[in-house]
Amino acid sequence: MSHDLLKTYLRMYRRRSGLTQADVAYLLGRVSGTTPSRHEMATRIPTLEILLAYQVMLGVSIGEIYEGELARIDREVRARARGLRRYLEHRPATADLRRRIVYVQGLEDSAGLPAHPPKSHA
Amino acid sequence: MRKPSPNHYRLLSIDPSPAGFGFAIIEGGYRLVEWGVARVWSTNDQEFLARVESRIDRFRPSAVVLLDRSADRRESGVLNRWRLLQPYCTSRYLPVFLVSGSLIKEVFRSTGSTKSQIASAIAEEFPELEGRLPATRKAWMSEGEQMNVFDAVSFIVALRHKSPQSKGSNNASLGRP
Repeated sequence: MSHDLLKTYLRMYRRRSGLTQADVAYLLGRVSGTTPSRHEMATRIPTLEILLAYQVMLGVSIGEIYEGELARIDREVRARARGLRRYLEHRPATADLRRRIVYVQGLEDSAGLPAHPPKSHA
Repeated sequence: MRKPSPNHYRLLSIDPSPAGFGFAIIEGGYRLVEWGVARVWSTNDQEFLARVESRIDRFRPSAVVLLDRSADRRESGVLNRWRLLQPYCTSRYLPVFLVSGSLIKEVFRSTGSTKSQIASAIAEEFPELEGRLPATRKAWMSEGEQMNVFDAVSFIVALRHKSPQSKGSNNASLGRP
């Protein structure tokens, strides 16, 4: 029994659009439907180019298509953020360090990226 | 330990037919993730269960929803397959929800309670199923196999109405048949 998201919702979005796997393969510039099939079954991870092509053809973001993967990566990054904050808190305090800690704390607390990420150093 | 998120509560609904079974997978009560008809022409029950198993393995549902046929006294292949499903799901530690036909009719009372009317109401809620909507059949015509998909979706929709608090953050009642 699982409450986790599926790794990918590519098949759902593709079927919602009414496109067949062969249509998708053609739009990806592939010969057969095996490539999209493998992506739908999550046995293969698409390249960045193909991911962006899915986003264009299905009209949904990569994060929505790979919602389960996004959720997993989100958890992992936030867990690492916790470790990074603990490490930074033990360093000699400077203005820059405080900003980094605040940013990392934001990563830890938010459900995703901080709403207003600080501007990068010029 | 991660808390289970009710928004990701995935239900697999199965409607056995003489030619296999129709199925639907709905997540969070409102997102139709997968649907279709699995054809099992063989009378071999193991093959039937293997096809069910492949859906369970792939989509890892939180529970299975079936039509309540416990009062059905007519012996048929469909009923035999239905009887196989409950112990099988239990062996996979999957809770089974049984939805009565009367509940389905009650839920769809406003849209009309014939199977065709229910299918139309479902296609309205899930436009991705519009293309599968069977043509209205005459009395002498047999039912189209796609109707099993609509039946499977109707079980979950009926269950959702039975547990109205399932919308949003609380799906707890769905976890306790």
